Amino acid sequence: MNCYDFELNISAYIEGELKQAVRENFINHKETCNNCFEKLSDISKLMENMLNISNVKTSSQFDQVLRERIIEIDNKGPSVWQRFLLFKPLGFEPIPALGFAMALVMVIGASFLLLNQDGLPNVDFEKLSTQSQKKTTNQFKPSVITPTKNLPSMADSDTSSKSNPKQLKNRIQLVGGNK
Amino acid sequence: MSNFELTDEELIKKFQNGDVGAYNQIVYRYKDRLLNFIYRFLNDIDRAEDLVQDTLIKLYTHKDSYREIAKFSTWLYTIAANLARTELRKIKRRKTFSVSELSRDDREFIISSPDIEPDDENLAQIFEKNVQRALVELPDDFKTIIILRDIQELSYDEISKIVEVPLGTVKSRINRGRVKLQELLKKKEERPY
Repeated sequence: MNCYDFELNISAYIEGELKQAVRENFINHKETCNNCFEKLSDISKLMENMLNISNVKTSSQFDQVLRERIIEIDNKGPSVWQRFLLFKPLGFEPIPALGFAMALVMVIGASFLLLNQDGLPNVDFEKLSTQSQKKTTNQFKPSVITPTKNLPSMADSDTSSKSNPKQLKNRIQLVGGNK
Repeated sequence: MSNFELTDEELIKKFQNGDVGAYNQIVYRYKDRLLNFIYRFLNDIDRAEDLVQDTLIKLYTHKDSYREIAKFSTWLYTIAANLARTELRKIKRRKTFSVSELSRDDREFIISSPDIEPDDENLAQIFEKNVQRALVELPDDFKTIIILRDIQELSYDEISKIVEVPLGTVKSRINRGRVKLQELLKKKEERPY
């Protein structure tokens, strides 16, 4: 046995819980190692002295203060939570009864909605999908400027420029149409 | 049979059935034991007494939470230990704050007087003080177990239930705790202040 194992077994040795083989090794080590012997006797002494430590006692007003606090609690009555726990509908425990009631309400509600057709709104899914498709195509349509429609008006408003086809092409590119 | 002769479990059963006399008997049996446990844990007698009151009030208001699957003392010590641990955390938080505010000049210096020869009674008092100071420095896990085992003399099984760790862990922590406590005491003997 080395010093580390010795230290691990000190309490078990003092309390007589070591097995015979380990105990023999422990005693052999104790007789050969001064440090461990000293450690063992220190801890034995410590345990002995700890048992003799004087007991502290509660003060003389302790019982009186406790009694006053209890009277205060009794006067207040049970809290909302305690009242809930004490409440036993038809002799059932409150928490399982509440759980059961909630489950019952959910089942009744769900079955009412499923069985009564009028309770559910009529939804035309086909119509909905076509509407959404239309919306998306309108939103993402690129703005293309057709030269045949726009060009004459632009040319008319600009008095300085002449109807040169090359200049017109450049204009169209600047506006952001064809590349 | 009078309340004095009943076991703790019989008393709590009577109290659960509305007998306040049984509660008074439990208070009488446990108030000092709980005070010793919490005082060793906190090292503050006034605060410890407040926590004993809180423990006994919890017993009064939550009497129906006790089921006879565990020993009554284990259940009561568990309440006390939880309260003590919470309080200790609060104290530590407060201390971290106040130490940062403490200037060097605020420290108190105690000068030992070598002329006085301590007698046996004084030696016991010195030992007790040193143990108390060493216990404060011990990590909480070790401290709880050491107090419950070496001062309160509870069984390993009971301690295991109170601190909610396996029996093997309790035994190894007791051993490591004792070694640590001894080392701390040795340091205090070398440097008493």
